[in-house]
Amino acid sequence: MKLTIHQNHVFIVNSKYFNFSTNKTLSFCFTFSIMSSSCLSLVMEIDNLEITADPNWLELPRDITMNILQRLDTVALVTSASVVCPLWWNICKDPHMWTTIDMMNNLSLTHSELAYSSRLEKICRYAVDRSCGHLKDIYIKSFGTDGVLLHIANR
Amino acid sequence: MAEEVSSQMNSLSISETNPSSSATISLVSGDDIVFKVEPTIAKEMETVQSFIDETDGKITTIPLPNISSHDLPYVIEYCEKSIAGKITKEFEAEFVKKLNNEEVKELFLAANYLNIKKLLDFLSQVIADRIANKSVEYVRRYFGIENDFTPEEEAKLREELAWTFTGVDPDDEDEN
Repeated sequence: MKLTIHQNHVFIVNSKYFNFSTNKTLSFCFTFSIMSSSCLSLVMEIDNLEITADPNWLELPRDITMNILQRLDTVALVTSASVVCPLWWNICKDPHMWTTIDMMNNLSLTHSELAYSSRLEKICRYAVDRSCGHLKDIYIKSFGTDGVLLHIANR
Repeated sequence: MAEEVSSQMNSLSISETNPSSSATISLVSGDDIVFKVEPTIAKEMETVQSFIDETDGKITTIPLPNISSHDLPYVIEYCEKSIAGKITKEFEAEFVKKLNNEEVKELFLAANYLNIKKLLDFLSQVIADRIANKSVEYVRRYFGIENDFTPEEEAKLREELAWTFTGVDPDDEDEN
């Protein structure tokens, strides 16, 4: 039995494993263990597979997770995604996550104007710091004080 | 039912441009349903195409154990639109409206497995949109991720980001 996987590898797999993977959930683990292991350890890993209730998103390749997280706007990235788990925290430390700072879409929040704008300012400064000079595009509105702009310019 | 779907799919596909590989490709879902597609569709699926290339086109039946017969038609539909150059904002909006959270996740994994870059990018955006402005707890539930920060790490984190833990949208009920 042959199975194709990412990156043009073809693996020959004993049909006993193949029957295994008619279980959808299981076969998810199957794919990713294949992608992350060499051919030899592959077979051993499949032998040791455990059935899990949900696909494990943390086993997705890092660039796939980054692809999703990079689409979040800056506020969501700072306030939500980065504190989900250690892996995502780690991904969010990557300066490349911060090449674009998009803070144009934050008017749905119901804070008093002053507190709100000072919070956005903090988030923006934080994001600028995280970018470590990789910042390319920035979109902000309603809190562009001199202080923030200077902070951005200095990085 | 599957035959019906696949014949529908075939009627939608554009004609084959390369006559030397005009045989249809059979994609077999994890629950053993066969979907016949044009080779142009297979080309969109890098994983499938590389399988075909590796076997010099001799094998045209490809098992896709990770993908269910529920999800595969969506993938095929997207690929067909993609080939026809008909991926519009309207199409994508309609496409995603049909999908609940669970289906979005399954299709995302399918797109990753099949290595369909456009579909993967599109679904990445859909997922990002669906978790944008949600609480950390909601995002964890959405992805089935455990909060495995140690209490010390968590305390440090909350301190570093204390000013951010306000102002998210209330969690909506649609968790699936």
